[in-house]
Amino acid sequence: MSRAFDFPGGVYPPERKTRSTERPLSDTPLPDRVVLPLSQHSGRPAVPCVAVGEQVHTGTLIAQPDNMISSALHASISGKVVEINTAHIIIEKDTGNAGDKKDTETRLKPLDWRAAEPETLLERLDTSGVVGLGGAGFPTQVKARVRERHSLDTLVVNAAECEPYITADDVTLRHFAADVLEGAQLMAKLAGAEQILVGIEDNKPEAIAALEAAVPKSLPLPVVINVIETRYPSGGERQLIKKLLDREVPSGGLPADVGVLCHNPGTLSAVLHAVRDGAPLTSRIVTLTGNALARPGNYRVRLGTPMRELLQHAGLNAAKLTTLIHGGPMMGVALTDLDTPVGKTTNCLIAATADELPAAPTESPCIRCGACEDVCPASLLPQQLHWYARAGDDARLERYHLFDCIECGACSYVCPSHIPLVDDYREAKARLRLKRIEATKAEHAKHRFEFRQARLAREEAEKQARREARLAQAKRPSQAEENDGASNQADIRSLRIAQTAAKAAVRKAEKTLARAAQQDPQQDLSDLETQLATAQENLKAADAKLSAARKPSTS
Amino acid sequence: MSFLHHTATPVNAQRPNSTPVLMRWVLIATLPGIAVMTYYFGAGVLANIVIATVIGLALEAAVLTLRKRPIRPALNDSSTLVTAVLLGVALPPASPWWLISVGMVAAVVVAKQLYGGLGQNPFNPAMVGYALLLVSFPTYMTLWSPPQPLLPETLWAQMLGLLPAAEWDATSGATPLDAFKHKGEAVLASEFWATNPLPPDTLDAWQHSGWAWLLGGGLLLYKRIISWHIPVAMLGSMTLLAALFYAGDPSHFASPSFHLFTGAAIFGAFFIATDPVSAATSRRGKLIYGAGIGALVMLIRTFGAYPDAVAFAVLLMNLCVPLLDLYSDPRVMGHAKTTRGQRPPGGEA
Repeated sequence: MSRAFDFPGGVYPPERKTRSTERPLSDTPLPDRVVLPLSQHSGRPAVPCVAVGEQVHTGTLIAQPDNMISSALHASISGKVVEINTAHIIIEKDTGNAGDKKDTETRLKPLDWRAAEPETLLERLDTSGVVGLGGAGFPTQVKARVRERHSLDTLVVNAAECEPYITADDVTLRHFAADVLEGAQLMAKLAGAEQILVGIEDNKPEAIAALEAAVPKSLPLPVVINVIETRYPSGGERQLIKKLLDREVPSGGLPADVGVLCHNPGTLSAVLHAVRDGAPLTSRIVTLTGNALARPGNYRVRLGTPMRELLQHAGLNAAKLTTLIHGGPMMGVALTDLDTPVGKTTNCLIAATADELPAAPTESPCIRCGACEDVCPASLLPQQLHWYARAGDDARLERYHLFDCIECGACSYVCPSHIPLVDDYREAKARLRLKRIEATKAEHAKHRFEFRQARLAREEAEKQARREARLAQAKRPSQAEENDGASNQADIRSLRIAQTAAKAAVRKAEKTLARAAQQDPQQDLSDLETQLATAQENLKAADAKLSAARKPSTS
Repeated sequence: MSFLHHTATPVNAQRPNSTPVLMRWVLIATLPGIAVMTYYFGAGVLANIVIATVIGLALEAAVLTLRKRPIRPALNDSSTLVTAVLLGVALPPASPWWLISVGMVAAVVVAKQLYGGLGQNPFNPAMVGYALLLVSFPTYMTLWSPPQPLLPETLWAQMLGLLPAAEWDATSGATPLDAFKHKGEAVLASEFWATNPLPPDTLDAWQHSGWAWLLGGGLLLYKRIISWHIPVAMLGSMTLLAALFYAGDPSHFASPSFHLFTGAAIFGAFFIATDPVSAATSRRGKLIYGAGIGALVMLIRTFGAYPDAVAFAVLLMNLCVPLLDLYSDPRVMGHAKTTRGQRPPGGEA
């Protein structure tokens, strides 16, 4: 596979990765109490299915997925459910037997993925609560179903891990390269892919060696390891696909649109455990790093463990800690609460000192130097976006493709004026999203109103028709005036035209609805249905008016 | 948000990390050019710079006070210093103080602060000052002293504006570009050069200054303070046009190397046209912008009334920047085509 392909832009921030790879992977001590948020994935929060006081084991299902895009949640320690609210479930370890520190585990039936039916495997992924562990937390089961609407040829293992500090995937591969590749084979089978590509940056020689050793045993699909230059953000899905395959994911589209499915190594290993061992997702590997820690490294952590416990286990020097970052230094978020629990998407915690990640200097005016444009991995014009975001010019933000920004932070990183560009973009995106939602809502309301008006008009027309029929009956037929007939003829003609137009409108609405339903059965069609009903009401009203106009003349 | 502020990182040492640092590198890069010019044209070059700087900083502080804006950050960013140095270098050595002052008022007060300060000015401030002076005071602006000792006798009188006009003429001469322009229709280039039309060392002085500016420009490129697009496009289009003219009629048109190395071509290409605030922003836009400046310089030099034209060319292209920005979008990843020149949906372009 050629390495000639490239994505635009990119930066070379200091890596600072070695400090967390020097220590071997180890388990953190079992927490006494875990807080498990119901929303650790993208989509709708899980729905609790246990009661307070219930005894649970590690791996017991405690919350079920709600609807299509959601994920199951499992107890990560054995003990008793002590609290359930709309945000989380809290489990405390049993304190009954003083000497009993044993964690009891419950597992599902192991499956042989090579023999199992795809539907069985998908269901297993669903019930195991596996989500993308790289950061987005998209339910893996939903991603695996993408085959239903796209034809896929390549499964990409995204092992680039381009953000500084983070080494969770690196360490996962060093220890479990074979598992990751087997997970990849499993997911590739589900997706119907024909090849597996591993994209990994050249700053992880040990992980690359482990992968190379595991490749010959990985069957049935061919696996290609593609070592790429270390450049941020090569681990961005779109950037990696461009780099490995020279394919561009269309704007607003998914990798599946170009026949690719991307998975993170941690996710693939979790998939394999869920299927082969029947173990739901109850723990993950987290990089604990930063200068405020005496023992930085990678740790296997039970989900829901408070971060304070982890950091203390890794030798936190609380006096030196100035910023705690969840994720990497480029895209992560600063946490204010040390008691935040570790979730499914917690890949890294950076306990930073003031020296290593100093606060941003004061912003100065943009001098239009264009450094941001040089580094943008999506070929956007960050400074134009900056002006229009500050000016609140939404039309121009769309024109300059704000929504193609992947928020990688390369522009903020190089800006000599220290403008927090990505913050501006996030804010503008949120505002625009809200506006879009409002616009759709207004559109719906308009269609509902039109439907009501049409219904009222139809009822009125029918009432009128009945009234006229009664009147005509009461009058003597002979008294029908001759000259009235001419104007009546004209009325009937125009009413006929109106009726034909109404019929055409109904047909058009039916067609639009049918086409939309064919394109995407999942989407919400209620608005189009309302529009069809409106057209039908209009037709009925036209029918009624026409028949009313005809009756007196004929009778 | 990026938490990793590159101020603390050695990895990015190749790239300056803040606006003040960037401006300071520009100042450092002017040193070779200033040194060579001072060597040939005397301390008047330095005098220009000193006067321009003092007046520029005072004006900036005064306007910021009136605008009720913080003074310290604006003075610390060194942008006014850059403007002052560039204007000081561009003016004839040992220009009278009032001339420099008028230029700095136009540059700092009108072209920069009245538009909203650093980052907001559509026109290059130093060139606004220069163009205003060139149009208003052509006698002072077109006379350039011949190579002279470091401390010419008339230096003080010139600076203080006390030198009588007659003597002024005697101490100054024409630039090579000016001389060549006014050689007369009937005179062939070879005949013109045969008459030794310029004071001794004049051509050397201009050529060596050109090389020194090139050296400074190289430093800016190496430090990635400027990108190559504008200087290469500008010098490229100048060379191309000059070569075309020269190839067409070498007896009447000057050679490309004469055009590049006398006058403000190299200085302008690396230090004036590359002012990021008033230049086009996208890479494609910068190429067009630079090429446009080069072409305008050549056209004005060849067919216009002025011997050199960097200031006018830069200002004219500054005018085109909004249009260039609108029509030079790169293709965004994931889109089949650019939206180049498109009106925003629902808005007016």
